[in-house]
Amino acid sequence: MIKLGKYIFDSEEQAETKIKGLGVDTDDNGNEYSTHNHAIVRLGHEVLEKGEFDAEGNVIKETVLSDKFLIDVAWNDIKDHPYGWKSYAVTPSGELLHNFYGIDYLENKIK
Amino acid sequence: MKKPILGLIPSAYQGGVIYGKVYSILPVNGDGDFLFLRNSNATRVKENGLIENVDNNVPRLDWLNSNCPSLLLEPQRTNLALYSENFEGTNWSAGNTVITQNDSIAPSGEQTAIKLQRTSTSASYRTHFIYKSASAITYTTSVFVKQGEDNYFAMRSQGSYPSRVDIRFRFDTGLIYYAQATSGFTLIDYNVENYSNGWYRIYFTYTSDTNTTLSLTFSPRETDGNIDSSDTSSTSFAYVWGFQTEVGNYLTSYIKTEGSAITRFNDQCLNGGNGNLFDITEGTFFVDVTPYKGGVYHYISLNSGNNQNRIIFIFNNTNTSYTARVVSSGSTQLNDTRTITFETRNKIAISLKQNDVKIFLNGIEVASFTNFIMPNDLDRLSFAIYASTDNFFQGKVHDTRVYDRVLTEAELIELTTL
Repeated sequence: MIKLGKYIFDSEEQAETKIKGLGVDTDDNGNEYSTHNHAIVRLGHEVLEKGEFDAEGNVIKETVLSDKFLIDVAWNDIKDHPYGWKSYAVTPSGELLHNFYGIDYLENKIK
Repeated sequence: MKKPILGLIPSAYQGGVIYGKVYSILPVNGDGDFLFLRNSNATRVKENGLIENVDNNVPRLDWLNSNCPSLLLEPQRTNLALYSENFEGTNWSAGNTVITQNDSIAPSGEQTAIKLQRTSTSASYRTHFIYKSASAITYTTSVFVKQGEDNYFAMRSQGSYPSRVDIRFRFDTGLIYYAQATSGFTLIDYNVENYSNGWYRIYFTYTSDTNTTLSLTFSPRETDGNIDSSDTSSTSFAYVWGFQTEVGNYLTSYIKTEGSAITRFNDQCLNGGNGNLFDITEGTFFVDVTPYKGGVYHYISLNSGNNQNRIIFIFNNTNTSYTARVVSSGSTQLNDTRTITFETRNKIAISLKQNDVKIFLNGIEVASFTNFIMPNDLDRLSFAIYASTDNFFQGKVHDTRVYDRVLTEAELIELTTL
């Protein structure tokens, strides 16, 4: 059973630490691999101000990004946020930045 | 040739709520069937060449440019392009072009293709903007195009001008005849998939600059030139559909988007066979696959559910070689790396018995070993690392077999010849 969560972390580094905390091991080649079955999507830094462009696509105003880093997760076989994730969870309203293919967010989000 | 104890020639499958199944052709009692997981929808190319959406946990038998289907196993990917079948809406700009929605039959067979027409002989291009982190990122951008009025179609991915990649395509040859990276962009790959119904999927892979906006542009043309060059026509048009920009170093199957980015989950094909089936003292393990350039290690493994006993093929992160490795009771018995060409079909077989191992690659014996102990407790065949949690195989599976005996040299040559 899939449950969806959306998170805003203080920085990309913090997000990566949280992701690594879900479980990693090392293969024969010395490379880390995940030991969990959750699907992580790194959406990148929060956009504070969208860039502006003219009709030809030329930049009028540059995009401004926050340090905050957005992550979407499809949790596999858990019903609530893992320890340490809940305080970064958000429940956006309106149009979403991101969805999983064929999975309705409102129906499957962590309540 | 004696029949294998397990044979997977992708032909039959079943979806499911919890998991799907990929049926092996041997054994016939179901002991060789694989679990299949993909927690999201996805698309595939059907036998008639049309693209269709498939539900979660439904294995994808893909027929693109083939008379036989292959099992398509892809990694998780996100289409960052919004309104992939509309070419207008949030983050789109018209730039001296007009579009007509639902003007022609799309690669899906539906009346959803878009007519994209220039309105000036001056620079005319439709642009989509994607916001990104301030770092260099490798993307693959693709779009389906079909000839309209004229012969040329230009594309560009641009960061902070002049950093960009320009692509130029001709409909009469079906080829990208010009691909050029400038300044802070690096071009990695480009090519065209011909759908044989007038539609082409043009794609290019590149590493961006560190600009926080990526601009993707499209321009139908009567004459040769980049998207921002003037043209002799002010009415040239082409049909477009299915725009995709994904982070990653190769093209994957189409993901439809509307107002948000959409992620397709990875495909997992696991746990074919069991301990009774693989209770063998000698054998042959054969794979016929098209590995993708994942840039990570990805595996096909006959294993015991842990790292103690396994026969594995590792497709290496360099995208230029694979490694055959056998471990018995925690002790590595052999480790043989060979150069192969990714994105093309490769046939690899390893025959094993006590102190006698041979490896055949594409019809040629490439290695042999005499000091060897057979692994035991093998109980599953997975297109993944032995733990089945990561390093899932990325590519197409055409055929996979396990025999309970060492095949003869003539049989191994016949089996692995392309």
